[in-house]
Amino acid sequence: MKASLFCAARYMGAAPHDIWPLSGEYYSGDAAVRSMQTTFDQFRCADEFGFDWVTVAEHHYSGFSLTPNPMVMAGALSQLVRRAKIAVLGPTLPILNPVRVAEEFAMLDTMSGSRVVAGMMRGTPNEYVTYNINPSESRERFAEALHLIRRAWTETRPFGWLGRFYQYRTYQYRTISIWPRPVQQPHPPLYMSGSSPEAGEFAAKNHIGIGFAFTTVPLAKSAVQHYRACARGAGWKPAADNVIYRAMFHVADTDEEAFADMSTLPPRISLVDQNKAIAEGVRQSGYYGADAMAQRQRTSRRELADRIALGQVIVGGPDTVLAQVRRIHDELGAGILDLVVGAQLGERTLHSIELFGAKVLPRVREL
Amino acid sequence: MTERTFAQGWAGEDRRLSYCEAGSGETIVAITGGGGLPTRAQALLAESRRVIVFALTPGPGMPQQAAQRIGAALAGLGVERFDLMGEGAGAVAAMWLALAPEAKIGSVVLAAPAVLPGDLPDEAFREIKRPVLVLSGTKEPSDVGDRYRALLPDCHFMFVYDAGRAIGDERPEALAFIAREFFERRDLFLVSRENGMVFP
Repeated sequence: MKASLFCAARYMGAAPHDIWPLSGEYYSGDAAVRSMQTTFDQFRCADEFGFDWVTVAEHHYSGFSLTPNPMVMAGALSQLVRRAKIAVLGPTLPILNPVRVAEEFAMLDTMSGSRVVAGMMRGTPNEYVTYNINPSESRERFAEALHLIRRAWTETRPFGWLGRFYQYRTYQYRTISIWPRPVQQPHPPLYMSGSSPEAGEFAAKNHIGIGFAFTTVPLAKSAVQHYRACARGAGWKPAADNVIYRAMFHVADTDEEAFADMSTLPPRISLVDQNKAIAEGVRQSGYYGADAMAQRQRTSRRELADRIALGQVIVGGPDTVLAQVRRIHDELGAGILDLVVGAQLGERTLHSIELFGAKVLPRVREL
Repeated sequence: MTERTFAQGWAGEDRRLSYCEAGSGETIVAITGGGGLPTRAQALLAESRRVIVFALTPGPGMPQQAAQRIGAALAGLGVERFDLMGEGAGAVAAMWLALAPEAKIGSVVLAAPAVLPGDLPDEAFREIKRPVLVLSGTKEPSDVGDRYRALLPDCHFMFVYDAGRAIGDERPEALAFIAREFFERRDLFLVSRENGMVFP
């Protein structure tokens, strides 16, 4: 099993953590610069201590994450992080220009020396308000954009595109023709969210890896089984590395210290649940698909003990953390563990990354 | 305008060549590879143009002779100037028609054109000076249009997302839209004229 460090570049100034969108009145440029530098320090530390990947993601209008364009952060990491792969998990595909996304990934692959991992996400539901995209179009936009991006990466001759949501005209067969092109052939490894049955089926049919973020191990287990069954139906068998599981983590020298650190954190409220009107509007749009209830449950507020039991949070001393990781591995067969920085506590957070890299990761690799 | 609005007629020598027609205005001639009703895309085009559809039937001498028969039938109908659309196996006949010296054709749209048979003297197609738009469905192998792109001196190429061989029925609005744009504006269709303003 491999490990990735996901640092969302959380804003470190004083600001509410339960309002979306968050007003700019709370914003301090100095605090934001400090937040970015802290993020760079944590990614550098992960690279130094052996993490296989570093992860960035897209979120808007919130102190939860200062990377509305994760490609920009990944561009910086391509020069800061010397060894680890750079996983962009990912751009919120349905609200973006897909050709632009194809170009940016190709650029990153070139800048990083073929180390980019391409996650294509539908995003958290609130993001549809950001650029005024109807969330009921999300799945269809996603599917078309993904097909278009693959074409843009692999077609050596230029082409136009007459889609349902996207149109690119052609001029004497000289239109979509991205430069640079991906270094990895035929293209960087692809991932998408596998949380819903529809997503698992789409990923399996299109030979795409899946990832889970802020779900629970039981929900993910059922989704992985569905994905593997769909892949069998499509004539292929996913490898362990085709499945990413994301959980929050914090490691300290002892269990007591780790739990004490985590107890200082405010409860996690999902971005969509921070705005009741958006949450209800998204629900009514049909965004969640066939298993809407399960999708809504995975972001419910829970106590820390429950979140640990459900595999949402990994916390403790090195041995305790290893046991928690082993359980996730054994239940899911996931090959990539995407670890979200749980507590922004300065030196203690860097120590958490070091401890995981030095004392847990070598044993995680044997799983 | 629906597929059923088309009226059937007979043209050509001994009036043995059947065709379907609907709409009024400047003429679009469509040559399709199969029988049956006109496609939904042709019906949409007939809302603003006169559309005449010839359906090829398999037979000897195809498709060069079919193009000659259609050319003669159009002369008999008094159609001198037209835009041309070839679909499936009808695409090759459309190319031969576009080569005819007497044809006064504006531009050509080929939707999901059949693969050019190797035994055709298709090098002749290099002489087609009219702009041609080749459309290929993403459910088909991506190299289907390659030969056309290689041969035609003024060729434009677009993928039609989520379509196979029957683009006119699978993505009718898309096909009708882009064909109308291409027939009307030729190369200039590259630059969108769609209104991007949300509110004035």
